[in-house]
Amino acid sequence: MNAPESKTAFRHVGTRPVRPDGIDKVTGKAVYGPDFTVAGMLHGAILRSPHPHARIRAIDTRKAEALPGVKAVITGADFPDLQSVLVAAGESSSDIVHLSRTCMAHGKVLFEGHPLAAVAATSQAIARAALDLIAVDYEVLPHVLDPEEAMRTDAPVLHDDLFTKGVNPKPAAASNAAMRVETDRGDVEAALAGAAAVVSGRYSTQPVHQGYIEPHAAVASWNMDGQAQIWASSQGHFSIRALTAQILAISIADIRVMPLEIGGGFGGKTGVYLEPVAMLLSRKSGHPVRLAMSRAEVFQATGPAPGSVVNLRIGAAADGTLVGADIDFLFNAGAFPGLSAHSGLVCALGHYNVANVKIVGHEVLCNRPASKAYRAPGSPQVAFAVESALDELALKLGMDPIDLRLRNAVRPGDAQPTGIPFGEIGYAECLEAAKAHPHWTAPMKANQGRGVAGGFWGNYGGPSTANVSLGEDGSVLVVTGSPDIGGSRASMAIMAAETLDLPYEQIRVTIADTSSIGFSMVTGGSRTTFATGKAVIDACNQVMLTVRERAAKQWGVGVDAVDWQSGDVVCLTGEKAGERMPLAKMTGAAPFTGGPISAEVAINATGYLPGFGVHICDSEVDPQTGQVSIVRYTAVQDVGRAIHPDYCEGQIQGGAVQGIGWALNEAYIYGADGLMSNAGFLDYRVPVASDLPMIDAVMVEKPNPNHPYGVKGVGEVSIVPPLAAVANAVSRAVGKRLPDLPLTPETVWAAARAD
Amino acid sequence: MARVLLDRSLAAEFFGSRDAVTLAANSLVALVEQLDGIGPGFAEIAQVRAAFAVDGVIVADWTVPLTADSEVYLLPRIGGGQGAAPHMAM
Repeated sequence: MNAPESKTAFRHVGTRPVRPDGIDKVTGKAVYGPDFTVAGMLHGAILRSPHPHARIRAIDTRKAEALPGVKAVITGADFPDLQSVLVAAGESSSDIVHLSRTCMAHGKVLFEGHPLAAVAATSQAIARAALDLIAVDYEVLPHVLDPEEAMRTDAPVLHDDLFTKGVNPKPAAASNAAMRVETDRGDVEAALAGAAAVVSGRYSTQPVHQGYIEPHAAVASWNMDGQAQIWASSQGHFSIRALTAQILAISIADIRVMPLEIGGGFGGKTGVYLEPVAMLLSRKSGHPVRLAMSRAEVFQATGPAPGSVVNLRIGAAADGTLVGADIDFLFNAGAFPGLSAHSGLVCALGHYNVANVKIVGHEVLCNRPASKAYRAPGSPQVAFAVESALDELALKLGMDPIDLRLRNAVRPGDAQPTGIPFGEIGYAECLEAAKAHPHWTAPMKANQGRGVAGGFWGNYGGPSTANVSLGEDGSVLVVTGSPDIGGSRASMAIMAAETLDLPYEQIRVTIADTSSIGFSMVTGGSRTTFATGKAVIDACNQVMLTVRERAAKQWGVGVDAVDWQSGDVVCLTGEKAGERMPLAKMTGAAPFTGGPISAEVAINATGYLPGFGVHICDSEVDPQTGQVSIVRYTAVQDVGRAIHPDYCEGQIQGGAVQGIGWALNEAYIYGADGLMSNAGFLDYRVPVASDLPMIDAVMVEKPNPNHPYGVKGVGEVSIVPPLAAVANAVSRAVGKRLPDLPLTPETVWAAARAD
Repeated sequence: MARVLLDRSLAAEFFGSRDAVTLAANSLVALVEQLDGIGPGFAEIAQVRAAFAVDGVIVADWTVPLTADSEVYLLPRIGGGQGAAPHMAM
């Protein structure tokens, strides 16, 4: 039941061809970041803080520099002094000083694993031995890990020059509250006072890591003439180039970044950690330098999704109409600001019409690694609270929980949280599909419970560049600047094949380096198939026009008298009417008809539409141990139109699995000393295939009228509903609300026995 | 005169917590300059922290002309999740 139907209008869109990068990946030929080597390359290693918060009194690197085989040692003193300025950073914005200090501490370390020196040597063993010879004099400072504690006036302050943004007047004292966001409309107190049912609660989630399989890695080679090359896997090599140039205060044009295959990102590979460090080691040593993180370094020093604390009250009329909502949330941002709490504000009630609303959010700093984007950043945490509360409301009102959501679901023309109206959205259709799915009415066994939850994510468009050129034999080369994370090579080839009316196998797609094509924003925000796809389609249309123009000149007719038919050009009028020239003949003769045929299109795509999902989860709780098993799971999502349905289903299933892990297993475990005790996949447990049933991915197709093939982003919203879908299922199985994630066996066991 | 509805958080930070302002700007580029006159420092952060919707449509091209009747929403910029545009603006 997963395959969409009614694809008769398309030849390629909606088909499931073999992925163009599949052979290289399954045979191990694909080159990922840690695989890459260049001649003369040195091996780098990074000294990381053993303290969650400390002042660096002194660093003595002389013994390390004297070790045979060591070619360079750097510290924060080797980084340029930068002026504080906000810069675009992946999907959000950050202060360039904070980004630089994330790569290398200067003055203070702010979390365990914070880099404070780096070594390049002729072998990895020598580099690591040199780290042991670096002497650091620390003044250990009090630390804070919890966002509620970090908001207290007696909490240790991480940055003495950071004042809360979003408040008026500007605060006089530095604070760990980096930003305050707020929205309100109507009279919430009056609405709640008049409601037939009101639920309230405090909900919490833990920071969780994206869990990409491939650790961060980069090779940098900075020549004496100032020009540099970087090889790295990331979600956006143009972002790597820009941030590295800004941190090192050099020209963007002096850096060429080559994209390598990426083994997962999910938002966590939109910034820089290693690249500026490798660059400085390369300049100092005169050699290319590779840096690659271990799994422990990935956990200790790269950004997780923020944890959260959400307090809310939601009220409804007797018929289920939501009348008011009062929501207050904290996001645990880690050591540096940069993850906007605004997405939490927008997403909390983005999928429902509520007349009276007040939402206040804070981004709070703690002595943990700085948070990074993770699939629909900021939405799952607030959705967990809201969708759990809706489950309680449905129970109080005696309503079917899907009917409660349908009564309040946003529809086309309704106002978004930002005030502007929604376009052709499909949340109600998702709810209807979930209600009609056999899962919703299937019988359950003892100790089982069924939960449902919805979710919203805005998606994005943004800048992309694409080049389409025709080979001498009529083959088609599509070049983009968008790293392929979720199957974009296949989706670009399908859209090009559809536009050009050519076989899929005749299209080859390449991701070019930063000096070989114009700018593209990161692959993130569920934007690439939508935005880069638009650029590819426009470039295909330009190429077709060029071919038709050249044929028209040869036939002595106007371009409108030349038709494009599956790559052939056909003369429609005049003496040559009916004459046909195959594409290979046109491209073979291109040098004699005006030169090579290609088109490059750069756009800043708008017209994107948000994503909505509805997930149904059946859980079974072992009454003896509290262990939760997921026994059935269905994920419904509005995908606009599926270009390659396998990939859409994969995105839906992948997001659901990551959300289930967030709900059941995943958390950073810190001791009282502020040090992480589970920095590895053995102890930080993500779900594996044997833990879960098949995720039934159901695609609802409500095409986006602002895209030639109806594309909406599909990569992120699938992680929004699972937290509450799982928690609602477990809560119904044990008969108690479970407001704190993860739902470990001990938590569930204790809740089941509480009065 | 374009009416500009201000995001609550950006308004608190730059515009004295005003809900809206009315400005005689013929484009969003000019509008940003005028907003900077009300809230110094806004222009410096606008490109990385602000987004605009004009008459209900997210606008990526800040040189698009504004009319005297234009209603402009100033929104925080988020790469993904800032909301949706019902129509293409380009």
